[in-house]
Order: sequence, then structure tokens, then C-alpha cells
Amino acid sequence: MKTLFGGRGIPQIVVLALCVFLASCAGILGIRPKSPERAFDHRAHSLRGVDCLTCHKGISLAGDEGPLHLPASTVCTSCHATPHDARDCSSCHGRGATRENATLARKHLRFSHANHAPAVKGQCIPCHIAAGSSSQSALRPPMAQCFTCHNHQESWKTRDCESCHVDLPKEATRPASHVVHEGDFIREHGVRAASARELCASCHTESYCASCHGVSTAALPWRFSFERPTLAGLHRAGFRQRHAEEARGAPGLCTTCHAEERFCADCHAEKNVGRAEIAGQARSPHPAGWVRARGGEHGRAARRDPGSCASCHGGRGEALCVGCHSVGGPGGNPHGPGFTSALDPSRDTPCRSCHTR
Amino acid sequence: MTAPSQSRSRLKTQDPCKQVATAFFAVVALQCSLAEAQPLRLRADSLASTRSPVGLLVLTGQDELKPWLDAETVTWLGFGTVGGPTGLGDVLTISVRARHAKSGSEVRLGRMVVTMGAVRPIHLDGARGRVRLFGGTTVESFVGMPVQRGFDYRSLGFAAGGRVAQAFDVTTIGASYLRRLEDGNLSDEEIGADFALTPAPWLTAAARAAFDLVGRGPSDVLVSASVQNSDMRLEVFSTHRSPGRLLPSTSLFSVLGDFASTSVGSTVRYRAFPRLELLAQGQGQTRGDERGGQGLGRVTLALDDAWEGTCGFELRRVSFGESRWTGARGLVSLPISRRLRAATELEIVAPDDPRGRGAVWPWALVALGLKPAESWDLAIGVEALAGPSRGAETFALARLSYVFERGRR
Repeated sequence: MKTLFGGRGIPQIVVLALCVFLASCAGILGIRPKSPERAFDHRAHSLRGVDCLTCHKGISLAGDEGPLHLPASTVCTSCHATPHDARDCSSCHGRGATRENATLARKHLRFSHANHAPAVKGQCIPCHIAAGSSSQSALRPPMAQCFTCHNHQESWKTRDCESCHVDLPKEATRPASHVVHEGDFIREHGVRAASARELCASCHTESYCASCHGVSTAALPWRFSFERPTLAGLHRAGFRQRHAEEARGAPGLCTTCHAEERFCADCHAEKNVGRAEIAGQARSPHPAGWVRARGGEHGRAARRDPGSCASCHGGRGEALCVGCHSVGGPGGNPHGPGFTSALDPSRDTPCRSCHTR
Repeated sequence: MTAPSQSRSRLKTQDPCKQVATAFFAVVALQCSLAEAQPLRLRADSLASTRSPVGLLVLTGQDELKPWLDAETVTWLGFGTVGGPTGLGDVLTISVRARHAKSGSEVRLGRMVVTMGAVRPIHLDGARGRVRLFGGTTVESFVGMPVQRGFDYRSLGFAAGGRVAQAFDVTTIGASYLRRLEDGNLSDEEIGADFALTPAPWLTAAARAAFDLVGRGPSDVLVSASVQNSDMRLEVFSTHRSPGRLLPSTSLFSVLGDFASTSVGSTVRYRAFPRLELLAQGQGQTRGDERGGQGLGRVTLALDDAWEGTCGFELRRVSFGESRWTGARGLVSLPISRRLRAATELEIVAPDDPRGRGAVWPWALVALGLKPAESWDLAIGVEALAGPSRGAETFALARLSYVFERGRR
């Protein structure tokens, strides 16, 4: 067998197969884009002394409405007298996404080049820093760039979004920074929103929170969007059948949204599953040894996950516990080591259930 | 019959069609009455399933002449099956907000979800106000009655609280308080502290901690810090929860003295190639003398440069306490045309200890989404599963959504 370096090297056929595989991967992984579009090389033009206004004629006087001042092919051919292709220059030089981005910015932002040009003495680069790079096509300045100006810092502090954004919910844009929608957003949003609820509210309305956090129902948006499985969401896919395992794997997590004493019991009653009395069974769903003369496993299980107990035995079901654990009862003191509470044993619920007997 | 069941039964009507029709006409009437207000948004989603049909109606409106005033409502509609088919409906939110856009101050009246700093969220019928003072100080407060289903108040509850926060250049700190009474008994009393730090766009950190004043201990603590650039994001997080203290203090199970659970973990997202994204998450967990953890790995491959079509695979392992299982999930989402999309999803969960519940719990979905017009959106699908509580089941799903918008440019 022929080898690449002779002797005991890599067989040529393997090298050839690897090359074909990598070449196909380049397309699959997006390393070699199928589209002929590439970023317009602003840097090369600047280095040749072409002023921005030569191509973007009139942009420095543009208000917050009107044309975008993107150059047509005729502007290109005024210098490049012999174009190499009959097609429109912008079909390859410059990305469609960049033009779309500019169109959306015109639609959704209150921005006037005429107002800003004097403040930067007619210089474009202080804001459009990306133009200094040959590979960058997204020339719309990031929002952080706006905050380098005093006026916009004040707008950010007071969450006065409407001084720049026409209609944020309709714009449906994701913040470029400061607020993270990447990673595990479902887990993260609670801690991130704690200090910045009003920032969230600049895009998300009450309905967005309530459709998951309302007491009557839960996680509906994900249920409704069943044809979009890539949407990050809570309770996706087969959550219904693994929810008990999920709950055991994250003690207390369910309680942060659901009132387990009502939510679980209501749903299980609706589905007619889980509770022995509902299913018409005479047996306990708990394993053998759950309750013994010396306690059994139920006490420890209750301390590990009291929400789970409350989901079936909450409300009137507490009488089952009180029957044994009331003061002087055979069940003894149910409080764990070091237990402390601000409740008044003789007056407050649930203490008086046991302590006044 | 338990109290919740009693409350549920009061929501039932003899004629479910009549209730749904009433709600529909109410929304149409509301739409007509607000037709002159701008901008106006209406979104209506109805999900029909052979298991249970539900609907969600969302309406928001703002007066163009009085942009400081807006209103919104979300109504859920559905059918129950206990004791035969019954109609159910509930208003999740219905509120009016007046605000001062320049200062960010506002007041909201009605039914709403109140989340204020680190204290627990509360679904409230009442009022919430926020005042932004000079120098980055914010004062918020709320008062009202905790929501009961369908405005069905069996007992009189009361909740009040507030938050004071100070924003500096890159930092915000806040302190919050919540007190809730249920039927005259103290149900929740918490204080909380929250903190956010964004020294640079690539570095953010946030933390919140709630302390239960009744159970005298921390009830819920979360810490998260992340670094990121365009291709990579690394987050380190920690949580600490006391399940007993998260229950209402009126519950007998809140006074047992629980084993709090603590977890520490990290999530890494990496855009390895323009069309390939990798995500890995791992966390270690403790509860009393128990140790365990869970991990997740996900690969997502885009089928086009715009990420309109994707396929992905996810593997998850949970091994903590009594929860020990392995799950795998694969999905494909494919745009067939500009208006038509197909998707399929398959999940298999295998518990370590089946205990007679089946060795594997498969779940699968095949769906088609169609957008026939700008305002209309529909989807149909078939869902099949074999779970631990019941045998194999198959459901058909259909969703119809309508969005109406009228407003500024």
C-alpha cells in the first residue's frame, strides 16, 4: 500500500478521504460560506484616501427619516471604470444582512446623522469603529458606543428607551450586551432580573411574565410553540412524563414558581393520577418501611423535600401528620435539630394544629 | 372535596362552549372599543389538542395621544375533564399603567405579577408603584391581595412590600421586603438583597439572596457571573435553596426543619464554527449528607448561514438523591419554504431504577408550521409518548395564532 511518506506512514487513501471529508465539513460547518457575499472593505478605501462622503453622499445632513444613503453601483463605477462583472456591485461586495440591519435601524431608531455629525466634527470613525477592519461588515455602532455620550448615559440610567427606540417590543431586538439571553437563560433570568426588572420591562410586557408565573397555569408559551423545538424554554419536550424526576433533582425549585400545595394536587386530580384515593386504590403509594414505630423513612424524606409531601398532604391532608405528631402524640417532636421559627406556637398556623391539643 | 377542588368547581360552567364564546366576544368587543387607541396589539393563540384544548388571549393597547397610559390583559381559556368536560377560564393579568417616560417612574393598577428584587414573585390584585429619584435611586412598593383563581377569594389575603435600589455607573444594589398574610395568618415574610455588576460588556455578574424572617434562615440564594465574546460564553453559578422556607409559613411542612440544597456549576457555550455551536453544563449538588450532580452536553448544527434551519442533539445525566436518570434528545427544525416549516423532536429518558414504571420513557413530536399571511400563524403536530404513570399515548395538536397590530410607523 502506498503511504504518504513511504515506509510506515499514513496511507494515501486515508489522507485523500480526510481531505474530502474536511472540504465537505467546510461547507457544512459554515467555514466556507456558500454565498458569494463578503464584507465591503471600508478599510482599503479609507487607506486609499477615499472620504466616507464620497460614496455616502449627503449622509451628514440626513435626518431620522428618508433614504439610507447606501451607494449604488454607479457610485462604484465612477472610480472602478471597468467592473469585472455585469451584476450589481452590492450583490457580492457588502453583505445583504448589513443592508437589512441598516434598514431596520432606520425603521426602529430615532437617529439623525445631521444632529450627531457636528458633535464628532464630521468624523465617522468615532462611532463606526468597525469600518477600520476589513472583515467587519456590521457597521451599525453597538449600543455601548451610544453611552459614551453624556446625554445617552442619562437616558440609560432612567431607562428612557423611547428617546432612541421607536417601539422596543415591536423591534424585538436582543440587547447586544448588559442583558444576557444566551446560555441557560431560563435558570439565569431570575437572578439577572432581580436588579433590572425595569430593563426587562422595556421589551417584555406583563403578559410575558404572567404566562409562565401566573398561579393558574404555567409555561404556556413553550407549549404553544411546539413547532419550534429550538426555542429555549422551560418544560419542553417530554417534561410532563419526567417532571417528578426533575422535581427530585432540584429540591425547592418548583416552589419558586408553583404553589405546590395547590398546583400539584389540582393537576393530579385533573389527570386522575398519583394519589391513591383518587385512583381508587386502597394501598399507599409509599414504599415499605415508610412509617414505622420508630419513625421510618418518611421523616427524613419530609426534611429532604417538604414540598413533595405538601403536594399531596397539604391543606386538610396535614391532619394525617398531626394525628401522630401533635404534642404528646406517639409520633414525637417532628422538628429537626436546631429548628427555629418566629411563629407563635399558641396562635399562629400551623403551630396551633399540634401545640394547642 | 379539598378546598382547591372546591374553588375549581366554582369556575366550571355547565356549558363550556358558552364560556369560550363569551370570552371570544369579550375580546372582540375589547378590540373594537380600543380600535381608536394606538398602538394596539392583539394576539390570540388557540391550541387544540385531543388531550385538552387551551387558548391564550393577549391584548395590549396604548393611547397615541396619551403615550404615558397603556393597558394589557392576558386571559387563559381551557377545558377540564374532571367529572366530564367542563369549561375553565382565568385572567392572568389585566392592568393599567401610567408612567413618566423621562424618569422611568410608573404606577400600575390591576392584576399583575410582582417581582421586586430578591423576594419571591407574587401574583397580585393590587397596585405597584416605582419612583426614580435623582442620583440613580429607585423606590418601589406594592400592595394588594394575592391572586386566587378566577377572582375566587375564599379567604382574604394581603401582601405588601417594597424595594430600595441605588444604581452606580456599573453597579446596582437593592434591598427588598415582602410580607404576606393568608386568612389572617402570616404566610411569608422575607427580606432580600440583590446586586448586579457590569464593568464591561464582556463581563457581568449578578446575585440575589432572600432571607426568611419566619423560618430565620436563607430561603433562596442565586449567584451568577459570566464572561463572553462573540464566540464563547462562560458562566459560573451557584444556588442555595431551603425547600421548607420556600413553602408558605401556614403549611405544616414549613416547620419540619429541612435540609437545604446547594449547587455549584458552570455553563460553557462555544461557537466552534460559524454553523456549529457546543454547549456544556455541569453542576455539583449537596443536600444534607447527600452528594450528586448533573450534566448536560448539546451540539447544534445550523443548516444554513442564517440559522433558520437547525438540527441538534442533547445528552443529559442527573444523579442526585432519588433522581437518577439519563436522557437524550434530538431535534430537527427545517424551513421548507418561507412560509412553511417542519420540525421533529425525539426524547428518550431512562431511569436508573424503573420501579415498574418502564425501562425507558420515549417522547416524540412531528410538527408542521405554516404562516399563510402576516397576521396568521398555524401549526399542526402529532405527539406520542410512553410515560411512567400511564401507557403509550398519542395526541394530535393544532395551534392557530392571530396577531393584530395598529400603531406608530
